[in-house]
Amino acid sequence: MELAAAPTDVILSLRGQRDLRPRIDPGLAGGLRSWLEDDLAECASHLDPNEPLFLSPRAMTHEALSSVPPLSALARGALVSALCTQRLSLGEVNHPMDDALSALEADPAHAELVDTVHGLDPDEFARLSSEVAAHDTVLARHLSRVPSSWLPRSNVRLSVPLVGGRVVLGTVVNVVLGAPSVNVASICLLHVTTSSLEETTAAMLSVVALIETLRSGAQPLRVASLSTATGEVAICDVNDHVLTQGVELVVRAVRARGAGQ
Amino acid sequence: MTKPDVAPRHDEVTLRYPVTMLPRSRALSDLILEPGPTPERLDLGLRRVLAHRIAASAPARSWGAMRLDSYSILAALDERPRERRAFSWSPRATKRILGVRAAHRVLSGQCATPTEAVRAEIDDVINRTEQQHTRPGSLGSWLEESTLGVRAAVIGEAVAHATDIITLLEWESVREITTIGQADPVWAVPGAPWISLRGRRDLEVTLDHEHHERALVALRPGRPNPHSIDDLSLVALVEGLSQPEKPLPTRIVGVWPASGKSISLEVTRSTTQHAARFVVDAVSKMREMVGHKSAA
Repeated sequence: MELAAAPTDVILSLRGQRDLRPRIDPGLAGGLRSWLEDDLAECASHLDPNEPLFLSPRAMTHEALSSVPPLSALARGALVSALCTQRLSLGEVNHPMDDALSALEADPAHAELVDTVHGLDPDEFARLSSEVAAHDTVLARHLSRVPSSWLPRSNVRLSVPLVGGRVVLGTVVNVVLGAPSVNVASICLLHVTTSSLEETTAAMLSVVALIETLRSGAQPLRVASLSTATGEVAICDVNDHVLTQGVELVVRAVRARGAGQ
Repeated sequence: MTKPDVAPRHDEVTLRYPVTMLPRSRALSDLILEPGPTPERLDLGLRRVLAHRIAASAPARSWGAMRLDSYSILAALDERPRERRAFSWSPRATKRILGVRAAHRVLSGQCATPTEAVRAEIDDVINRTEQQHTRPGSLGSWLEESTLGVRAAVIGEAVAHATDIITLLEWESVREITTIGQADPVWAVPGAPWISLRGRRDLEVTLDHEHHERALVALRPGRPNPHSIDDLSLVALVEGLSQPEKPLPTRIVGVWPASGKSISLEVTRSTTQHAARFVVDAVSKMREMVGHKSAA
């Protein structure tokens, strides 16, 4: 995996050269799913499909106790995610904190985070506003001029059920580019984080690539993570090795949780 | 696509799935276009009995108009407690309305991309609001007053939905026979016209123009669940109720883009009988709930 200070244009790096894109193996997604179903059949058999085990890429690559960030970090992440959408949708942001907060206020699913932000004292609110504005400068550098012909989508929800719905792999991808892969891999996924990139970033991206492969039936071209805290970018060309790593992480995570039952 | 994790709750149901080794758009197009048996018409007796049963068991007119769709009906039958909120516009609530119309703009050649199409659709909705003075609380009024951040979130949701539609099928084989963005069919219950049933579907594909044979495609969020077949059955029922002069649709194809699942429910009279039964059950439950609220 390539990990570097952000190239001048992350989006261009993600799309790459059209004639170098790998061909789709039509049997790959089915093979990966069969592998997962076989390995998970026993360790997930005790789970109730009505109350499935939800696993996110983050939950699979972090220790259980640290896998849920504090509410303030979640609020910052949600605000920056809203700006990510705004950069893609409109190409401009006037007042980062005001724009992002109004977007969250319009979404009932974010009511708790909105309450948290409104509950901050003036100093904390000003500090968060400055932070959000700083994160937005990184987004402005990379996401302000994405051609709409590349079909950019933001906050795309992916949800892949396995083992009769007992296990659900789910994530929300900040940016998806490209039409679904038909003959060659063409989809690119960009995960935006307000934290620094970590040692686990590559592993997390492998799970994101696996989820998209299982969902769409074709492997994506590239997956990447952009840190708006440091400007670093990790770009991962998706291949069999990456997807295999994703499968192993899912199996390990389900077994670890199954052992506690 | 792989078989969804659905467990049909009624017998005599025929489900079909796309071929997994083909590209998704081709597999789904093949699934939709496959010739089916000659479709039946909705049983007029069922229509009469359903109207009578709903009118007899529905909440009174004083509780206001009730437009029932799969979501509200299945929610009424769900035993699990859930928070019930009054409707208000949100980016997610607008995604289907704007996204389907935007997809129509792209596929009919009016706009080049989903982003362009969604922006044009929003401008149109706002212009219509200004010209026709639509009621406060309408989508147009809400969009007109929305901040830049909210507008961006609305565009983001609708673009994702429009992109799901325009990448769903092999359009060269179905473009001429597909209708996108029609209003959902609605059936006002004779004898209780304050109650209406609505079938939420996104595309209609004509299979045989002369005989009115058609397939309906319904995009749904998330992933299929044990109630998904009920949901698709209701789409078939409302289609039959609202267009009694036509045969029932040949099939209802449910698509869950977030999970990459799709499933075709082949429609028969038993499909609509099953849907009619759970509609009556749901309406009765709604009256019970209304009764509890009155007592409280």
